[in-house]
Amino acid sequence: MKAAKFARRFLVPGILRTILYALRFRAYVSPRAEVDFSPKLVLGRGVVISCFTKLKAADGPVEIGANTSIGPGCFISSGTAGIRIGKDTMIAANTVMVANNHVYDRLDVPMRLQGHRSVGIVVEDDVWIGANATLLDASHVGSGAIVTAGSVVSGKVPPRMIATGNPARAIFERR
Amino acid sequence: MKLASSRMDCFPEVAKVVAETLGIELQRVTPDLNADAVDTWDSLSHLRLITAVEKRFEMRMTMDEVMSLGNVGDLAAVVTRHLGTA
Repeated sequence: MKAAKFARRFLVPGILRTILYALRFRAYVSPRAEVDFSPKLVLGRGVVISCFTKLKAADGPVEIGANTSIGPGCFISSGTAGIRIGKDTMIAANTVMVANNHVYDRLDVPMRLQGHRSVGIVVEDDVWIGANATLLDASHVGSGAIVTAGSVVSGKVPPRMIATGNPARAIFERR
Repeated sequence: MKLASSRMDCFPEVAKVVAETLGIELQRVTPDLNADAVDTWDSLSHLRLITAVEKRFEMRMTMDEVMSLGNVGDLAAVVTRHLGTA
Protein backbone atom coordinates (compact mmCIF):
# COMPACT_ATOMS: atom_id res chain seq x y z
CA MET A 1 0.00 0.00 0.00
CA LYS A 2 1.38 3.43 -0.85
CA ALA A 3 2.49 5.59 2.05
CA ALA A 4 0.02 8.38 1.32
CA LYS A 5 -2.89 5.94 1.12
CA PHE A 6 -1.75 4.30 4.35
CA ALA A 7 -1.51 7.65 6.11
CA ARG A 8 -4.94 8.78 4.94
CA ARG A 9 -6.58 5.57 5.93
CA PHE A 10 -4.97 4.87 9.28
CA LEU A 11 -3.34 7.99 10.66
CA VAL A 12 -6.15 10.51 10.58
CA PRO A 13 -8.19 10.14 13.80
CA GLY A 14 -11.93 9.68 13.41
CA ILE A 15 -12.89 12.81 15.31
CA LEU A 16 -10.51 14.86 13.17
CA ARG A 17 -12.11 13.48 10.03
CA THR A 18 -15.52 14.45 11.42
CA ILE A 19 -14.34 18.01 11.97
CA LEU A 20 -12.54 18.27 8.64
CA TYR A 21 -15.51 16.99 6.63
CA ALA A 22 -17.89 19.27 8.53
CA LEU A 23 -15.73 22.27 7.74
CA ARG A 24 -14.98 21.32 4.15
CA PHE A 25 -18.31 19.91 2.98
CA ARG A 26 -20.88 20.77 5.68
CA ALA A 27 -21.41 17.02 5.97
CA TYR A 28 -21.49 14.78 9.02
CA VAL A 29 -19.19 11.76 9.06
CA SER A 30 -19.45 9.75 12.26
CA PRO A 31 -16.14 9.51 14.14
CA ARG A 32 -16.84 5.79 14.28
CA ALA A 33 -17.06 5.48 10.51
CA GLU A 34 -13.97 4.50 8.54
CA VAL A 35 -13.97 6.97 5.68
CA ASP A 36 -10.81 7.36 3.60
CA PHE A 37 -9.57 10.90 3.90
CA SER A 38 -9.10 11.21 0.16
CA PRO A 39 -9.15 13.99 -2.44
CA LYS A 40 -11.27 11.63 -4.50
CA LEU A 41 -14.14 11.80 -2.01
CA VAL A 42 -16.65 14.59 -2.56
CA LEU A 43 -19.59 15.04 -0.21
CA GLY A 44 -22.59 17.27 -0.77
CA ARG A 45 -24.02 19.56 1.85
CA GLY A 46 -26.02 17.79 4.52
CA VAL A 47 -24.64 14.30 3.79
CA VAL A 48 -24.69 11.96 6.79
CA ILE A 49 -22.40 8.94 7.03
CA SER A 50 -23.26 6.83 10.05
CA CYS A 51 -21.13 4.80 12.42
CA PHE A 52 -19.35 1.60 11.39
CA THR A 53 -19.61 2.41 7.71
CA LYS A 54 -16.43 1.77 5.74
CA LEU A 55 -15.93 3.93 2.68
CA LYS A 56 -12.90 3.31 0.47
CA ALA A 57 -12.16 6.14 -1.95
CA ALA A 58 -8.42 5.85 -2.42
CA ASP A 59 -8.36 4.16 -5.84
CA GLY A 60 -11.31 5.85 -7.48
CA PRO A 61 -13.77 8.72 -7.01
CA VAL A 62 -16.74 8.63 -4.66
CA GLU A 63 -19.22 11.44 -5.06
CA ILE A 64 -22.25 11.71 -2.76
CA GLY A 65 -24.93 14.32 -3.42
CA ALA A 66 -26.53 16.74 -0.96
CA ASN A 67 -28.80 15.50 1.82
CA THR A 68 -27.98 11.85 1.18
CA SER A 69 -27.74 9.56 4.19
CA ILE A 70 -25.62 6.42 4.53
CA GLY A 71 -26.81 4.15 7.35
CA PRO A 72 -24.71 2.28 9.88
CA GLY A 73 -22.46 -0.59 8.86
CA CYS A 74 -22.35 0.03 5.11
CA PHE A 75 -19.40 -0.96 2.95
CA ILE A 76 -18.70 1.29 -0.02
CA SER A 77 -15.68 0.55 -2.20
CA SER A 78 -14.97 2.75 -5.20
CA GLY A 79 -12.77 0.46 -7.29
CA THR A 80 -10.97 2.45 -9.96
CA ALA A 81 -14.07 3.56 -11.86
CA GLY A 82 -15.77 5.04 -8.84
CA ILE A 83 -19.21 5.44 -7.33
CA ARG A 84 -21.61 8.33 -7.85
CA ILE A 85 -24.60 8.73 -5.54
CA GLY A 86 -27.11 11.48 -6.18
CA LYS A 87 -28.86 13.83 -3.79
CA ASP A 88 -31.73 13.12 -1.38
CA THR A 89 -30.91 9.43 -1.41
CA MET A 90 -31.30 7.10 1.56
CA ILE A 91 -28.99 4.12 1.91
CA ALA A 92 -30.05 1.87 4.76
CA ALA A 93 -27.89 -0.08 7.18
CA ASN A 94 -25.44 -2.76 6.04
CA THR A 95 -25.68 -1.93 2.36
CA VAL A 96 -22.72 -3.10 0.29
CA MET A 97 -21.61 -1.21 -2.82
CA VAL A 98 -18.52 -2.66 -4.51
CA ALA A 99 -17.44 -1.12 -7.80
CA ASN A 100 -15.04 -3.80 -8.93
CA ASN A 101 -14.82 -7.50 -9.68
CA HIS A 102 -11.97 -9.98 -9.58
CA VAL A 103 -10.64 -11.21 -12.92
CA TYR A 104 -11.01 -14.98 -13.12
CA ASP A 105 -10.15 -15.71 -16.73
CA ARG A 106 -7.29 -18.10 -16.01
CA LEU A 107 -7.36 -21.39 -14.18
CA ASP A 108 -3.59 -21.62 -13.77
CA VAL A 109 -3.28 -18.40 -11.78
CA PRO A 110 -4.94 -17.78 -8.42
CA MET A 111 -7.84 -15.36 -8.80
CA ARG A 112 -6.40 -13.08 -6.15
CA LEU A 113 -3.42 -12.46 -8.48
CA GLN A 114 -5.40 -11.79 -11.67
CA GLY A 115 -6.35 -8.22 -10.90
CA HIS A 116 -9.67 -6.42 -11.02
CA ARG A 117 -12.12 -4.93 -13.49
CA SER A 118 -14.09 -1.83 -12.57
CA VAL A 119 -17.00 -0.21 -14.43
CA GLY A 120 -18.47 1.91 -11.64
CA ILE A 121 -21.77 2.27 -9.80
CA VAL A 122 -24.35 5.03 -10.24
CA VAL A 123 -27.24 5.75 -7.90
CA GLU A 124 -29.28 8.71 -9.05
CA ASP A 125 -31.30 11.24 -7.03
CA ASP A 126 -34.11 10.44 -4.60
CA VAL A 127 -33.42 6.71 -4.32
CA TRP A 128 -34.08 4.43 -1.35
CA ILE A 129 -31.73 1.45 -0.98
CA GLY A 130 -33.07 -0.99 1.62
CA ALA A 131 -31.09 -2.60 4.43
CA ASN A 132 -28.62 -5.33 3.54
CA ALA A 133 -28.92 -4.64 -0.17
CA THR A 134 -25.91 -5.24 -2.41
CA LEU A 135 -25.02 -3.14 -5.44
CA LEU A 136 -22.46 -4.85 -7.65
CA ASP A 137 -20.14 -3.27 -10.18
CA ALA A 138 -21.93 -1.80 -13.23
CA SER A 139 -25.21 -1.34 -11.38
CA HIS A 140 -27.23 1.78 -12.13
CA VAL A 141 -30.26 2.76 -10.05
CA GLY A 142 -32.49 5.36 -11.67
CA SER A 143 -33.95 8.35 -9.93
CA GLY A 144 -36.93 7.77 -7.67
CA ALA A 145 -36.31 4.01 -7.55
CA ILE A 146 -36.48 1.74 -4.52
CA VAL A 147 -34.33 -1.35 -3.98
CA THR A 148 -35.90 -3.54 -1.32
CA ALA A 149 -34.02 -4.91 1.65
CA GLY A 150 -31.67 -7.77 0.91
CA SER A 151 -31.79 -7.38 -2.86
CA VAL A 152 -28.78 -7.74 -5.14
CA VAL A 153 -28.51 -5.27 -8.00
CA SER A 154 -26.22 -6.17 -10.87
CA GLY A 155 -27.68 -4.12 -13.71
CA LYS A 156 -30.07 -1.26 -14.32
CA VAL A 157 -33.07 -0.37 -12.20
CA PRO A 158 -35.18 2.06 -14.25
CA PRO A 159 -36.34 5.33 -12.70
CA ARG A 160 -39.25 5.12 -10.24
CA MET A 161 -39.23 1.32 -10.24
CA ILE A 162 -39.36 -0.82 -7.11
CA ALA A 163 -36.87 -3.66 -7.57
CA THR A 164 -36.50 -6.74 -5.45
CA GLY A 165 -34.70 -10.08 -5.37
CA ASN A 166 -31.41 -11.64 -6.35
CA PRO A 167 -30.86 -10.58 -9.05
CA ALA A 168 -33.09 -7.57 -8.45
CA ARG A 169 -36.01 -7.30 -10.86
CA ALA A 170 -38.39 -4.36 -11.17
CA ILE A 171 -41.83 -5.35 -9.93
CA PHE A 172 -43.76 -2.10 -9.75
CA GLU A 173 -43.58 1.45 -11.02
CA ARG A 174 -44.19 4.25 -8.54
CA ARG A 175 -46.79 6.68 -9.77
CA MET B 1 -78.12 -6.19 -8.75
CA LYS B 2 -76.93 -4.77 -12.00
CA LEU B 3 -74.32 -2.73 -10.17
CA ALA B 4 -73.06 -5.83 -8.32
CA SER B 5 -72.81 -7.95 -11.46
CA SER B 6 -71.15 -5.23 -13.50
CA ARG B 7 -68.66 -4.68 -10.70
CA MET B 8 -67.61 -8.31 -11.03
CA ASP B 9 -67.50 -8.54 -14.83
CA CYS B 10 -63.78 -9.04 -14.90
CA PHE B 11 -63.66 -11.24 -11.85
CA PRO B 12 -62.93 -14.59 -13.58
CA GLU B 13 -59.92 -13.20 -15.44
CA VAL B 14 -58.72 -11.25 -12.42
CA ALA B 15 -59.03 -14.42 -10.35
CA LYS B 16 -56.76 -16.28 -12.77
CA VAL B 17 -54.11 -13.57 -12.51
CA VAL B 18 -54.38 -13.59 -8.72
CA ALA B 19 -54.03 -17.38 -8.56
CA GLU B 20 -51.02 -17.41 -10.88
CA THR B 21 -49.24 -14.53 -9.22
CA LEU B 22 -49.76 -15.72 -5.65
CA GLY B 23 -49.31 -19.42 -6.46
CA ILE B 24 -52.66 -20.54 -5.03
CA GLU B 25 -55.50 -22.70 -6.37
CA LEU B 26 -58.03 -20.89 -8.51
CA GLN B 27 -60.88 -22.25 -6.35
CA ARG B 28 -59.54 -20.31 -3.36
CA VAL B 29 -59.89 -16.98 -5.13
CA THR B 30 -63.19 -15.43 -4.09
CA PRO B 31 -64.22 -11.78 -4.11
CA ASP B 32 -63.65 -11.58 -0.35
CA LEU B 33 -60.16 -13.06 -0.48
CA ASN B 34 -57.56 -10.69 0.99
CA ALA B 35 -53.92 -10.68 2.08
CA ASP B 36 -54.75 -11.88 5.60
CA ALA B 37 -55.91 -15.21 4.22
CA VAL B 38 -52.95 -15.94 1.93
CA ASP B 39 -49.44 -16.59 3.28
CA THR B 40 -47.79 -15.62 0.00
CA TRP B 41 -49.64 -12.29 -0.24
CA ASP B 42 -47.20 -9.83 1.30
CA SER B 43 -46.43 -6.24 0.35
CA LEU B 44 -44.09 -7.21 -2.48
CA SER B 45 -46.52 -9.83 -3.84
CA HIS B 46 -49.19 -7.15 -3.78
CA LEU B 47 -47.10 -4.94 -6.05
CA ARG B 48 -46.34 -7.89 -8.34
CA LEU B 49 -50.07 -8.60 -8.46
CA ILE B 50 -50.90 -5.02 -9.45
CA THR B 51 -48.27 -5.09 -12.19
CA ALA B 52 -49.53 -8.47 -13.47
CA VAL B 53 -53.14 -7.22 -13.59
CA GLU B 54 -52.12 -4.01 -15.35
CA LYS B 55 -50.18 -6.02 -17.93
CA ARG B 56 -53.00 -8.53 -18.46
CA PHE B 57 -55.68 -5.89 -18.95
CA GLU B 58 -53.44 -3.24 -20.55
CA MET B 59 -54.44 -0.59 -18.07
CA ARG B 60 -52.82 1.47 -15.33
CA MET B 61 -54.20 2.13 -11.86
CA THR B 62 -53.61 5.29 -9.91
CA MET B 63 -51.74 5.11 -6.62
CA ASP B 64 -54.98 5.95 -4.78
CA GLU B 65 -56.66 2.95 -6.40
CA VAL B 66 -53.73 0.69 -5.53
CA MET B 67 -53.85 1.78 -1.89
CA SER B 68 -57.62 1.47 -1.64
CA LEU B 69 -57.78 -2.23 -2.57
CA GLY B 70 -59.06 -4.39 0.28
CA ASN B 71 -59.74 -7.68 -1.48
CA VAL B 72 -59.92 -9.37 -4.86
CA GLY B 73 -63.43 -8.05 -5.38
CA ASP B 74 -62.19 -4.46 -5.09
CA LEU B 75 -59.45 -5.28 -7.59
CA ALA B 76 -61.98 -6.68 -10.06
CA ALA B 77 -64.16 -3.60 -9.63
CA VAL B 78 -61.26 -1.26 -10.39
CA VAL B 79 -60.37 -3.27 -13.49
CA THR B 80 -64.00 -3.30 -14.65
CA ARG B 81 -64.24 0.44 -14.15
CA HIS B 82 -61.09 1.06 -16.15
CA LEU B 83 -62.18 -1.17 -18.97
CA GLY B 84 -65.58 0.45 -19.00
CA THR B 85 -64.10 3.90 -19.47
CA ALA B 86 -61.43 2.85 -22.00
